Amino acid sequence: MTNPDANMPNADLDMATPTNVPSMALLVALIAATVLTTAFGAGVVTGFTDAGGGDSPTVLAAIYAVWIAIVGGFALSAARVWLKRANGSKEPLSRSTRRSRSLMYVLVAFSAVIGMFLAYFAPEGTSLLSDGPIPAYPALILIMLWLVGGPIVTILWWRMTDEHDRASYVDGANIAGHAYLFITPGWWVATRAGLLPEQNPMVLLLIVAVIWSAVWFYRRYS
Amino acid sequence: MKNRLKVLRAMRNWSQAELAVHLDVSRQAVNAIETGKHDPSLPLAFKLARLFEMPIEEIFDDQS
Repeated sequence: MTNPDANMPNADLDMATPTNVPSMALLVALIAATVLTTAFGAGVVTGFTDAGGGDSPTVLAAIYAVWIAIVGGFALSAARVWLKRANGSKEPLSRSTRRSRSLMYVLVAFSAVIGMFLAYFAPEGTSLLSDGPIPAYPALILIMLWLVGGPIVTILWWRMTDEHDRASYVDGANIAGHAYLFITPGWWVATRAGLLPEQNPMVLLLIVAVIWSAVWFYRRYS
Repeated sequence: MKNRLKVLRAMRNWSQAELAVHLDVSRQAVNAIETGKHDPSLPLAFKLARLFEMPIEEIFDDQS
């Protein structure tokens, strides 16, 4: 077959995002920077306080100020890029894309609520993802949210998104599933040999989720 | 799989986003099909064939 693109002046109408609109990569980088500097700052403040830095309130206040300025800068930049992308692209969206995006926003809000719930009921002095005990009532609410809300949202998303998105999701599931298949027994054997601490299911879940999301993102947007 | 989607789209002066609306998929899906990273399902291939009013084998080429 000869090159069908020859002499087709309008063949490049589209491609990725229009050039005057900030890229998705920039937005992801700014969000990652916001999250990482938040975690880094928390570590610095905790370390400083544990080392007795609480006795120097001026220094502690200065650390807080710098931390908030950096995180705020990244967060504001991310918000501006997001708004520019939302207002600047003006590209038409299909019905399935609009619906799956709306559902994704709902899912992010849903996750934030669960995170705040966990943080509120976490024992004092423990982190959000600690294994410490929590009261039974909030635990039951969280379990119901996760066991009932999770599958419902997943099924709804699966039905309303397009086949390319579903294929990206399945590829992510495939690779993440294999990662679990190989990492879990490796860790188990390493624990028995005294090389690694006991397996933590939430760490395994986090590894699987990160791999799954990374593959989905790459397949979806590359 | 190679295809003539980009040419057919350009002949109608459609952007990827506009074609995506016609097919009810995302712009990324159209881009992935055009670049051969994603082979469309049979229902989507038929949808494309109806949209461009030509047989599937005139849009997609599995020989090259």
